[in-house]
Amino acid sequence: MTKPITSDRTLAVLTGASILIVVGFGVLPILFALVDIARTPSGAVEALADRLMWQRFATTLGICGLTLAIALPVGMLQAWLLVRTDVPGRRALMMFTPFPLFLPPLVHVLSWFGVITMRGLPAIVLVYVISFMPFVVLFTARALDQIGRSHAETMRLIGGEWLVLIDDLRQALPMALIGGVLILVFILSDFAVADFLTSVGPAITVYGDTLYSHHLALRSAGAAGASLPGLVLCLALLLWALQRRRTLGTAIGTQHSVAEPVALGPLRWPLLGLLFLIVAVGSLLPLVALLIQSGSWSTIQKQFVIATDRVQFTVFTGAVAATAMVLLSLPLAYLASSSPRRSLIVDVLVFLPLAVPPLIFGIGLIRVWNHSMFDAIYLGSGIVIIAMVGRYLAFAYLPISGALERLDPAMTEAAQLSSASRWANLRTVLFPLIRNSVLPAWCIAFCFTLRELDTLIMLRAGQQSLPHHLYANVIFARQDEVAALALILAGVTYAPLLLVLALSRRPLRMV
Amino acid sequence: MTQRFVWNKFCCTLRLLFALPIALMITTAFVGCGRDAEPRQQVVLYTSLNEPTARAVIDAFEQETGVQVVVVADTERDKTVGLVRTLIEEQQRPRADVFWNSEAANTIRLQRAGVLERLDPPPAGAQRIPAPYRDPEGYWFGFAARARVFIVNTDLIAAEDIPTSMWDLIDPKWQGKAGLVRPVTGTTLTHITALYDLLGEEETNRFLDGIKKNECHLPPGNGRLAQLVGQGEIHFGFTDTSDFRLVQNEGYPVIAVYPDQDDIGTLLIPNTVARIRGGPNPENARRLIEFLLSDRAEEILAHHPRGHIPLKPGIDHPAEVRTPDEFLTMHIDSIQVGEKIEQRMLELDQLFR
Repeated sequence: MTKPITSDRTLAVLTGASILIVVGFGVLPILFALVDIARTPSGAVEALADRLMWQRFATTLGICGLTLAIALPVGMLQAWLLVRTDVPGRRALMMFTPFPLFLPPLVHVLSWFGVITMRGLPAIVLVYVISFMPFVVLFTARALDQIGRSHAETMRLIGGEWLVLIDDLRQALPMALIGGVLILVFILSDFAVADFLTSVGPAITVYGDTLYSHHLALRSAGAAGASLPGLVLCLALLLWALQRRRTLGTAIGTQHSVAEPVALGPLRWPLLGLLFLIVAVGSLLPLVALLIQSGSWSTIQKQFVIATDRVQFTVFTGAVAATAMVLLSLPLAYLASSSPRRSLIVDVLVFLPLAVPPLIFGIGLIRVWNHSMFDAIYLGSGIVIIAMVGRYLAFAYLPISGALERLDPAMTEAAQLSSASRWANLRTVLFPLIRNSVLPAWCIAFCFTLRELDTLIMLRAGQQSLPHHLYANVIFARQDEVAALALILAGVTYAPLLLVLALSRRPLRMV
Repeated sequence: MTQRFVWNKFCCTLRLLFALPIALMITTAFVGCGRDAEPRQQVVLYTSLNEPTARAVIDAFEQETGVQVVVVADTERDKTVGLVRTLIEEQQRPRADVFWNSEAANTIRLQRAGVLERLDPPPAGAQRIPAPYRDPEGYWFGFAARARVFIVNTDLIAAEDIPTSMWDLIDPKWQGKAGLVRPVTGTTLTHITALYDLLGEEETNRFLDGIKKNECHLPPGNGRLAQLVGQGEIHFGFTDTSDFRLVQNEGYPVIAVYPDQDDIGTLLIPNTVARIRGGPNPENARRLIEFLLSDRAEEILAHHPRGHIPLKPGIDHPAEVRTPDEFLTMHIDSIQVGEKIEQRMLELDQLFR
């Protein structure tokens, strides 16, 4: 027997607490950082009127456009082959597809460009494609998953396999574009790749360089002002993408029947080779390149011994942060699923920190948390966990809210008709249906915490993290030592991924 | 029965799951306390020097005094500014006691921002520091310097062609072969700002225009530039002696040239140290500063593989570390440079877009 009133109050309290935590961890730091615009409006206006900033913004959008021009068609085709065809080993290949996403782009740079000599714009675009194309693949794959058997069969009867391909891609395009939006968000805040890959030859300066220049000049209002174009663009696109995802998210009821895979005939094997190459280029070959550059096993061992404390710290803070993100995502996703207005509010709260340049977010964290009452948090690992939760909550929220949205409303109708409370509905009907998405959500969130650097640079405790140690050594240490450290970071990232994949035996779903 | 058991277990799990967001703050605080509680006898050092180098001195200080040093170091990617920004943001509630900066300009910016505290009486050993390398008001003190030298790849440049002047960077002979760090950060920014002070607007602008026209490579940091010269991707370029030595120690065919010895001299950039106003451990801060300014600290840094240059006379040093009395140093007004660096940085960002 449930107690509707008390139980709904419990749910309200838990949801309210989750929102408060998200505001404190993610939104307040941004407001505290952007308050400089109000304090010194002239500084912000000056930054916004700077032609150079807009030129760099355009350059970055150009790089992003080139990246998407490759990542969208290739990623969509990859997803189609993996989800909708009978290519052998597609399940295993799908499992490895997201791996490149979890390595910081600079690790891809260190692995690839220690071996090949390509530099300049082509190299920058190549690194971004390798790093971020899995966003397109994962989102496209989710859309393709939802294509029903009867629809696919109808298409096949009307126009054969080609029409199936065209119709599938047409249906998946909006979701692929959502992956593209995430690519843009990450590229807009990065400057290390362009910096490193144009060290020789004509330098390419990007939007992130302008933010960094204001940061170097200690012009807070300038940095805050210059961050606005990126923030507004990213947030607008993210919200568009999220709302679009909700309208696209076809509910999969008990009657959903998966479409038959398209038979590729003799093309299966060459296409398997192509898919293997794409997955290997992003997931496997960087490790081989780093292994070669490390020189010997003893170098890796030595670096591991030196970095043991940092590995422990990074795994510990990442695991706590990922757990917190999953716990926060459950009530938030439930709240978002209850009405379009609430979903918009939750989306803004969760995705805003992702749209803000990490340096700005770091400054905001200091302003919010550097108070005597938060000493234990600010001086210890707590602030690192807060930074990670605030910034990457979106990646735990996406799979859980996606799972909730795909549920057939009929499944909860019976509970509602019998006057069960929302709390009881969540406990007895919804949670059992979405719990399979909890472990992947945790894993994705954990992996994203391991690629964080720019926010942690600003925080005292962030210095203990493994990415910080790696970046500090990129210039100061020998190349074999840097390669060994990058390999250790990749190992720490990939280990839980492999474990989760082995346990669940299913590809990770980001949405 | 089984159904009830499953139901109870499920409810238990859910309660646990949903109680945790509220407990998150407590957990976070606990995590903070448990792992990083700070002992009493300590001093918090923010340093822009790379940590392994700083450690060589800090270990000696800890051994001598028993005071634990909590080190917070910058990455090269942040070009000393990450910590400067953090110090300014933390000004209302300072967490650091001492700032050890690998150059002087940003220390002067911190002084102007009111972050630093004047040491009165001056720390022991301060009087022996040559006047250009310490603040006359006693806010900061210089020690263990680096010189701005050319790193030259001897496989690519014959002995008779080795460049000896900064103007060689803009010699058409070296078009597309020389390098200078994009002068918006670090010691290169200090260097160019010093040139403006020393040579004037016209001459320095001519030099910078020449850099652009001569298609100089503009890597993001001195360490990276030194690596690129070592690997033969760039023939020669300006870097710091510490970065040169790192590449030399890796066995690359490189030499250091102290430029402009018959002209304006070679720029010397000291490490600087200062006490943070309102830091939590002021007495230990003074002890650490006095140690850093001691002969022993300069000796340790001189013998370190990165070979810092002792500023005080009579410090024991390896033969390959050249002291200021062994070469012509550039005469600059550090305070002027520190005060103008911000404006120069924005101008140079526009110039080297």
